[in-house]
Formats: sequence, C-alpha cells, structure tokens
Amino acid sequence: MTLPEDPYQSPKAQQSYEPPKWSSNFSDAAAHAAGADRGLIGHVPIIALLLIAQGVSEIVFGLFGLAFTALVYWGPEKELSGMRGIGLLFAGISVPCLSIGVLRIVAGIFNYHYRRRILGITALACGLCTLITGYCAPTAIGLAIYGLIVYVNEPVIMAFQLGDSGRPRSEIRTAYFTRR
Amino acid sequence: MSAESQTFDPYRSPTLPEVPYAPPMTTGRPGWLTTLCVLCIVLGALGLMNSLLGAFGAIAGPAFQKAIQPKASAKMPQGFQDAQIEFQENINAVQAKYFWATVPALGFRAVAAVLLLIGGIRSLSLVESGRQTLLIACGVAVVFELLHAILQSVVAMDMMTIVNEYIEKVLQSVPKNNNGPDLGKIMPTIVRWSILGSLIFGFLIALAKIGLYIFGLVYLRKPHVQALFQNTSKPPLLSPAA
Repeated sequence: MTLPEDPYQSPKAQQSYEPPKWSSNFSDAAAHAAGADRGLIGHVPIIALLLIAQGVSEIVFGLFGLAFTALVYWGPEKELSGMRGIGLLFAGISVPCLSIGVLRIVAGIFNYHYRRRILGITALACGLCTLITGYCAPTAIGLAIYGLIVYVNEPVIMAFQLGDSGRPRSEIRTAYFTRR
Repeated sequence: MSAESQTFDPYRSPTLPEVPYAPPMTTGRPGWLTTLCVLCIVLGALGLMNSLLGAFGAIAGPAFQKAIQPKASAKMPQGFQDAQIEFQENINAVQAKYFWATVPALGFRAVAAVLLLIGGIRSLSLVESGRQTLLIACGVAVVFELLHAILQSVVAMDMMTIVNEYIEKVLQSVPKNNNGPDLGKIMPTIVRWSILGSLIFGFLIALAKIGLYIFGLVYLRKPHVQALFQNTSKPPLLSPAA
C-alpha cells in the first residue's frame, strides 16, 4: 500500500502569498508613514480626550449658571430676588460656555479618530473665550497651548490628512507606530 | 524581493509592500520656534480679549457694577449697608484716579497683543515679515509688562487700603461674639495677604512672560533661525505635500 504523500516530509508550501486584507489604501498610508517621523501623533488622542473633558466641565458650568438664573427668577426664596442682576450675568456667561462645551466635545470625538484638525483648532481657540468664567480659564489656556503645538506639528497634519481621507484610526496608528 | 513572490509562512508577520522611499517634505521648523509662536499667539489672543473686556469695564464698569450688585436686604445692619456703599464709592474713586493711566495701558496692551497674534501666526508659516513683526511684538510686550507691573502694584496698594477700611467698618457693624475668634485681627490679615498674594502671583506671571519675550528676541535673531525664514522654496505649513 502506498501512501499518496510521504507523512515524514514537511508539507510543501504550495499556496501563493496573499496580502493581508486590510483596507485598500493601507499600503499608501504605510508608505507615507514608513518615511515619516511620527512626531507628536501620539499626543492627538490625549488632546482629543482633554477636549472632551474640558467640554464636559464647561457644560456643567453652563448648566450650573442657568440653574442659578432659574433659581433667582423662579426660586421660592424671596431673598434671592436681589441677585437677579448676577443671575442675568451668569446666564450671559453660561450660553457661550455651553455652546463652546458642545463644540469641544464634537471636535474631541472627531480628533480622536484623526479627523477634522481645523475643527479641533477652532475648538481650542474658541475655548479661550471661557476665560471670562475664571473657572475654566487655566485649563483652557493650558489646553490651547498644548493643543496648538501638537496640531501644527507636520506629522500630525499628515495623520489628519489620512484620517480625513477615510482611513480608520487603527490603520493610522498602525502605520505610524509599528514601523521605525 | 516583493511580498507577492514570497512563499507563505504562517509564522512570519506579513511584510508591508516595498515602495521607493520618498522623504516627506517638511518645513524644518524647530520645536522651539513652534512653541514660541504658539505661546505668542495664545498670549496675543488673551491680551486682545483682556483689552476688550478692560475697555468695556472702563466705559461701562460702574453702571454695570450697579446693575448686577445684589440689593441690600432690610435685615442687614445699617452700618454694614453704609460700609458697602462707601466701599463701592471708594473703588470707583480709585478707578477714576487711575483712569488716564489705565486707558493708555489698555491701548498699549491691545497693540502688543495684535502684534503678537499676527507675528506668531506669520512666523509659524516661516514668513520673514512675520519674524520681524514678532521681534517688534516681543520688544513692545516687554516694555508693556514692565510698565503694567508698576501700575498694577500702585493700584493694588490703594485698593488694599480701601479694602482694609471696609473690613474694619463691617466688623464694627457686626455684633461681637466674645466666645469666638477675634475677627478684628484675623480678617485684615487675611485680606492683606490675599491682595499681596495676588500681586506676587501677578508679578511671577509677568516675569515668566518677560522671560518668554526676551527668549523670543534672542532666539529669532539666531542665524539658523533667520536662515529658515530666508528659504523661499519651502512647502506651505498648513497643507504639507501629500
């Protein structure tokens, strides 16, 4: 009885190599990344998360301001009626604070996926307007400085171009962080 | 050897396709220059906002203060109410006293802020006129910070006297509690140290800003930095070549 194959022989690799099924343009992304310095790309997710955190804190402040305004106008305590001027001031501060908070969160979500860099820069710049609250000012200034330094870094601009062209975050990170 | 002609080996990670190396086009902008430009842009933006708010305060400050000030409750002692009115009047008097010093300071700040903003943005794009603007801005800002620190300390001293008087009058109007701590001694000390603390903090911030501007004045004149601005065949900053 003859065996069709020699069982002691190592199997021959007869299959032809198939490239891994990554997204169609990964090769291009890798080609970009292979020659590029990774720069401050690793800081982008940190800034995105900080943008979201700052946005949440600004929204909390805005809601607190509106709640205070509502309290001095419709609250049961008669003593608070003398503070209606401050209530109006708080309302005036809270409305831009809320809108900037929402802008920051939206920008943070997009930036986390390496998309919409200009939106991120806009959120960082508009965020400086929360200086008037005092409450968010130091963090807003720090985040604006840190964020702008990262967002004008050239490899970061390149990574955002890849993100805006539709490549997922994982591919961009793989392209930049698996090769030296 | 290209990836396609390779035999399949399940234990080997797939190789990325080989492509001819094309070095990325970069502006070659050093990190220090980026940091300096960004700091100048942020300080310029903050300075501009501060000038606008200051101008609003100078024009409509007393009226605005009157509009938002909480109305005195009938339950408050008369002495307390009088002290509050006098305090507000004294504050307004100090603001009026230094009005013709603070208004030019606001204008000076606005000019320095606009120069920092424009110089910072244009220097980030490695435009030579931007470097020159930033050099002028740093020079103007150093002078402004020094003069402003002097003005702030003079105003703060006057304010401290007024606040101390106010605290004394408030404490006199409040019935004394013999069992509790002596507020007559504690409160002026707390207020004095709070004002001094804010003044020292302001000085430290001013010192840090002066340090940054002097660094800018020195750094932007270095030959290798100047050379970056002379090179005209550079790609645009905000849209690198693909």
